[in-house]
Amino acid sequence: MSISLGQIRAALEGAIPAVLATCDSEGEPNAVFLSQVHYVDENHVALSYQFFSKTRRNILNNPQGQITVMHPHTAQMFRMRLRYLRTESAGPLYERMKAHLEGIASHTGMAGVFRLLGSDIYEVSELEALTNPKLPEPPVLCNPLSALRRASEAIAACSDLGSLVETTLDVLVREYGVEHAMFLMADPCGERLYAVGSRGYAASGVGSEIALGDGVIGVCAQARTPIRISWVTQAYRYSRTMRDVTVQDGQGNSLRTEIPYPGLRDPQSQLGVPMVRAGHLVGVLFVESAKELNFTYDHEDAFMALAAQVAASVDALHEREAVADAKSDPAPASVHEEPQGAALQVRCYGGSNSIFFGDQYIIKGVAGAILWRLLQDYQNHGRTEFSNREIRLDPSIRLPDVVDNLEARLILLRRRLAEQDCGVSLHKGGRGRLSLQVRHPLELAEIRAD
Amino acid sequence: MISGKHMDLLNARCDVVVCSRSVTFAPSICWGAGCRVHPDGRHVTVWLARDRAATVLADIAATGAIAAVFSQPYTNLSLQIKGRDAVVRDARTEDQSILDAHLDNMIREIALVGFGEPLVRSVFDVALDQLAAIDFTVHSVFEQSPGPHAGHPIATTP
Repeated sequence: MSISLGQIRAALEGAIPAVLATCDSEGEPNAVFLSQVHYVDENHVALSYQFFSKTRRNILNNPQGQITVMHPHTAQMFRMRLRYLRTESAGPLYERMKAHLEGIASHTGMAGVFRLLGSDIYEVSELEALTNPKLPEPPVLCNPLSALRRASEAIAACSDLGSLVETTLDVLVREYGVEHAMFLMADPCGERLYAVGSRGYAASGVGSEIALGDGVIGVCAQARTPIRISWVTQAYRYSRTMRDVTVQDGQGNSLRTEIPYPGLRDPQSQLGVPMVRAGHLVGVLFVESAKELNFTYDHEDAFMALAAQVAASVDALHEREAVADAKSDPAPASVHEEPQGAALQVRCYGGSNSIFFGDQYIIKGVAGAILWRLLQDYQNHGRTEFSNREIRLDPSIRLPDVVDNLEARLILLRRRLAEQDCGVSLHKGGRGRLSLQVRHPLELAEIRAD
Repeated sequence: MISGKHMDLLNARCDVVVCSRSVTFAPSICWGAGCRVHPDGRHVTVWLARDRAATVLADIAATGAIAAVFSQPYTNLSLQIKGRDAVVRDARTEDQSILDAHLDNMIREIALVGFGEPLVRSVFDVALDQLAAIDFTVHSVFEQSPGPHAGHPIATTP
């Protein structure tokens, strides 16, 4: 029975390194281990060109190659006869391979060291399965296509951004057995992502930020391409240890205005998929696992389809909420219960809008500006009811004009306040409304930036 | 010639991949079932499963050209040894102890990167009567570990 490249994609991923043989013009053979063979289509694979090696010289002079790969579960070995065709240094395939390499490099603290010079494209002229004994394949836990259908139906039923975030995370867990997941939204300025929801972590990490280009999530967002790492290498772990030592060397005493990134300490598989709508980055869905080879090409395919639907839903819900806010009535005058007990010291650092309750960092940026505005109104006028519309129009909050992401900021703020449980909480009121609850007297202090 | 400092690494901790080429310079490749650098540091034997390595064996028989990459799975420390006088022979009874030791080494070394014994046996546990042995003289040795020195020659026999 003939086999196709598509059937052996799991063997191409480098859990067991592939080995490529070439031959120079003098007839001297040469072999080299490869971290990954990229599936291009049923007749082509791509290999990364990172530096001018013996292999590179050989294929330019003699385009013939042979490669052997092994399935990481069944141990089934395959061999391909290759012919080098060309090197691409631009285009979708190159960008995808570059992002994959940069994702690993960034995560291991090696950004800038691993550089993709090109994607070498090979035609696969023969593909054979070798005769070593096969081990049983692990059981398939779900049918990815029917799981996608159920997930898609659940997402289509969401009528606000909060439920969309929760439902998306829920279907990843329920339909695909994902144990650790994050939903990150892109900052409208396009420089950062911030987590608005997660599953499976000791701390939710809601509000934690990741810069574009930083790690698997940041590179996935920057290049708008999925990045899947199935076998986290020893170097990956080594780098993390190095980073931990650096933190232990005295970084911990400075004033932290960051919400810790909640990710796994020792991940073995990671997958980030971009949520893109009309060419515009909406966010990233990120899943990871302590198990090796936990996410396959099938997961990548399914999550990309899901991410496209979620991105479209985010945009549609933003639009709907903005229209609803514009039509909503002004917030009614509020009556609030007198807070009790010791005063809660609240500081706002100008410039960054970083808010602290006592010594506890709460939030910064636009969400910080919103919270500060609400607390000032509460303190000065006793207000506890606010409309989204007034927040949207308040020049002191400085929401971006084009895509303001207000609802995402409010979700972030509500969850962050609920998690910190410091005596201040925010709740959805009626349509387009917010309700502030304060359990302690407040002492507000604004620390102006010099 | 293989130095003493590499001998233990190559004989006790490394797997091996063997490649050759046809008379038309088409390369061929196969995982080895065992390897041995002899105490003189000048001669090497590798064992291949005949049914999986038919092309490699035919190419070696036709050209004598061989390149064998030895690699420790956990560290990726690797050397490539090349020869020009490789000959194919049947595996012999006295080879069995070397092959048994290699299998035990691979079970231990590959466990360090997370793969169990069944997978290792599937690749390296081959009956003696299904194996071919290839003997060759070391012509040149290259550093093959990932990093800036990959591909640099370590030794060449004139």
